[in-house]
Amino acid sequence: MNDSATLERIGKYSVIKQLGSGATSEVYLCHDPFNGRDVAVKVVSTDIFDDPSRGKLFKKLFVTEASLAGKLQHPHIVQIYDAVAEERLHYIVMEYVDGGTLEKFCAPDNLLAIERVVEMAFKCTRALEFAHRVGITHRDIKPANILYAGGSDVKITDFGAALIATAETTQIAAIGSPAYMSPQQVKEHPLDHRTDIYSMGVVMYHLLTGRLPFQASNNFSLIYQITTMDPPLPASIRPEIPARVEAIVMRAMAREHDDRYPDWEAFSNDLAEAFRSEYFNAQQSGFADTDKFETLRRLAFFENFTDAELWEVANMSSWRSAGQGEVLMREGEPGNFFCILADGEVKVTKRGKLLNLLRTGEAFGEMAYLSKSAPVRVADVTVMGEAKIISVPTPNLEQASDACRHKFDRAFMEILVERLTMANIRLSGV
Amino acid sequence: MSDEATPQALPDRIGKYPVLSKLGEGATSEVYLCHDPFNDRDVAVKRIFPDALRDGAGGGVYRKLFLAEASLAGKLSHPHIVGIYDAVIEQNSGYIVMEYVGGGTLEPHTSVDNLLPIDKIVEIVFKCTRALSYANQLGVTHRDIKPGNILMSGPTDIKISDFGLALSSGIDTTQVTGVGSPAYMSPEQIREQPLSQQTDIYSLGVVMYQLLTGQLPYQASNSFSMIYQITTTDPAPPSTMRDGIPMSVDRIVRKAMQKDQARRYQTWEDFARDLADAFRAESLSRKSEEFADSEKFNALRSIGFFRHFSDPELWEVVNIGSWEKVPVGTTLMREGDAGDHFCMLVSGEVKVTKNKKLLNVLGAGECFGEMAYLSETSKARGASIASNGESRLVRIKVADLLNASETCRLKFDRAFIGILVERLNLANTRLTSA
Repeated sequence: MNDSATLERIGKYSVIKQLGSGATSEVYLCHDPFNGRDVAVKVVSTDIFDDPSRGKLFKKLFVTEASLAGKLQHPHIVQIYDAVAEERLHYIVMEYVDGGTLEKFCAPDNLLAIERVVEMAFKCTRALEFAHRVGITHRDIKPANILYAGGSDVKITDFGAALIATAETTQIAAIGSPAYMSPQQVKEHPLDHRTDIYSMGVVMYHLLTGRLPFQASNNFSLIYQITTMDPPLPASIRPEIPARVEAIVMRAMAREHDDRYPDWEAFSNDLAEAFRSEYFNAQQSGFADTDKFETLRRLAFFENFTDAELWEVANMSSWRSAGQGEVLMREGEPGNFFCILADGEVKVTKRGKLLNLLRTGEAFGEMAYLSKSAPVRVADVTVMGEAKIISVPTPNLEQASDACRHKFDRAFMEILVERLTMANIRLSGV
Repeated sequence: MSDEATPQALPDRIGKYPVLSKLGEGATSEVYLCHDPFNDRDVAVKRIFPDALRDGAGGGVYRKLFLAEASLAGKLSHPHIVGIYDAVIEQNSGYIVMEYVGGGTLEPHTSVDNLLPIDKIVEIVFKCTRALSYANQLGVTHRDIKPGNILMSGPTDIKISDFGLALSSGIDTTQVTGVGSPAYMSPEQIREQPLSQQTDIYSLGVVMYQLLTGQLPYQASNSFSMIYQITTTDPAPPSTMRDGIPMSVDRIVRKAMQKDQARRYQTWEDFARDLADAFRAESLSRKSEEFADSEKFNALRSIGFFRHFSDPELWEVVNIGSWEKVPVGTTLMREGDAGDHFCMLVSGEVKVTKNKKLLNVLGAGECFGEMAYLSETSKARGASIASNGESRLVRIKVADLLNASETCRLKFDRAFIGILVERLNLANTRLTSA
């Protein structure tokens, strides 16, 4: 600490202040003058880099691992920009997130509402599945590695820590608390994504109840409990926890692989299901992020969107329920948004004449976006029965990433090709 | 730094970058080939000599300027401009991390015994004008255009390096005598007048002159004499020094090198257009069935479909397309065949037939066979296409387009959506009137 108080720069980065420190690392808020942005720089100081025989290899692995993790581009994963291993200095340069970690929401007197916890866990499971699909397991999921980005938004950090973890897990006692480790991890068995699923279960447990599943005065006792005992049920600590949510936590934390969620998909599906259940419907007003994401994912229109792109859509769109007979668009009105029907049915009419009936997953009002010349509605659109409507304001879409806009265009292109084919068939029949 | 005594005293690393070899050295800097372990790529790192970092006032002015210019130049993303990845300036050191280009500079091709063919020179200069036009649109002037700052990345492919005064030679360029030869400087640069893109236009004119003739436009035994000539005398036309230089090329060089800014090319676009015209008019390309890159670029530029494509995107299309001249009556697509490409008609006419019945006649700028790309389900050709006169066309393989950059594909899809919407409106009108 005394040393770091005078630290002015790390590599090319000028230090603004220290953000935190751990057993083998310190994190600083720094400035990157070339890219004109603030970054978080994590300086890793561990003896393994000085190992005479393997130090060089570890340095190389350190950069390779960070470089691999740097390929993860996702709204709920902290972006890695650079990694450097020099003679005496080893550090990772990352996106700076100004909200602290989830640790502060683990205290019994500062717990989050249950639906917020479910929302955050859902985002984590999707992000970890995204990482899993490119072959990356985290291995150190804990509240301190999940940054808080406001609302129910989170960003998972320290994917690169996998290396340090593997190098050091041979001596479990040496590396902090195994509180979030899976039974397989403490037993030093080969690990896959299911170790992260277990740890995520423990994180949920902690966030929901304000305490760790196992209480122990030393790590050996903790390891014993992790490998042999069942934790108290979450609802026995916080009675308002719905049975469904409790069941999810317990399944994620199952000691045996066979009883645990086999993959992130199943885990996140259950979280989304729980969200839709009665308990939450009574609590919430409007649409939760989980609900939006799950809905989008199931619509054919968004079939080819990646998770990262779906989150973009969830954030740029506005959602509402509409009742029978409500007119959503009127002929002649200017149109600076288009809609996708999340649920229900709408009818398209022109001067009272029925042109079309649209069902769940279909888009309407998109011609105003597609034909730049005339952003004016050419027909009326009216709700039949109850409907859930997603509207995408075109100015928001213009601001989206190239990849996301491109996916919209591809989806629209397919629709246009289909309509044109239909029109040509009708024309040739005339 | 290592104290290991190698012959050239190669540094171990510059910043985070391990040094592989030395690439070159200038008056105020040296360039090393380095490796970037995080991004796993080779890079060129240009290290500024400490002396060049000291500005007279001793303040941070130069440092700020250095970073500002590097950041700005780093925003230039273009196939004919060397990418800048990073720039670092510290108390006694400063360096810029750039894309590594393996082909050397244009310098070897400025001597009489190693000149490039004239058509290649026109191509290269054309690419320079488009790249500098792109930079100018983003507010970046180069100010030090010379053969040593133009790198070769293929037979006629180039990449311009060292954008920005501070980057290329330090602040001392304001003192003309301090900075080597003023051979490529414009008259207004020598007079220390305010500079615009026209100073780069002049310098590129000098480069073109030298590439064509193997000589600088002005020969002088000292800088003072050189400066005098730059500001007062006219150079001999290039055609007097090398056979085969067309008048139009002479005129272009003369216009680019006009002392009076009012008579010089006003914009890069004008300069580029004359180069492309010269290419076509003089049929500089020896084999007429071959297309020059400038020809391809300009053909695409003139097609409405590519209206919203940026220069870098258009160059991508130039590179992924295959270009053909076809005689009248050539069958280009056959009804029922599986389609893996589509075409844009650059000139001429094609007819679309189905069951030998004429459906449509398409002209320059129109595309055909695009359903192979647009439709997920039906890849078979819905009609036959044959040339109705001598035609020029560019063929784009669907697989190649799928490998293009996100922004390039985005532009294609936007353009196709425009076409689809138009056709759909037309079909609907016909349906309602039927």
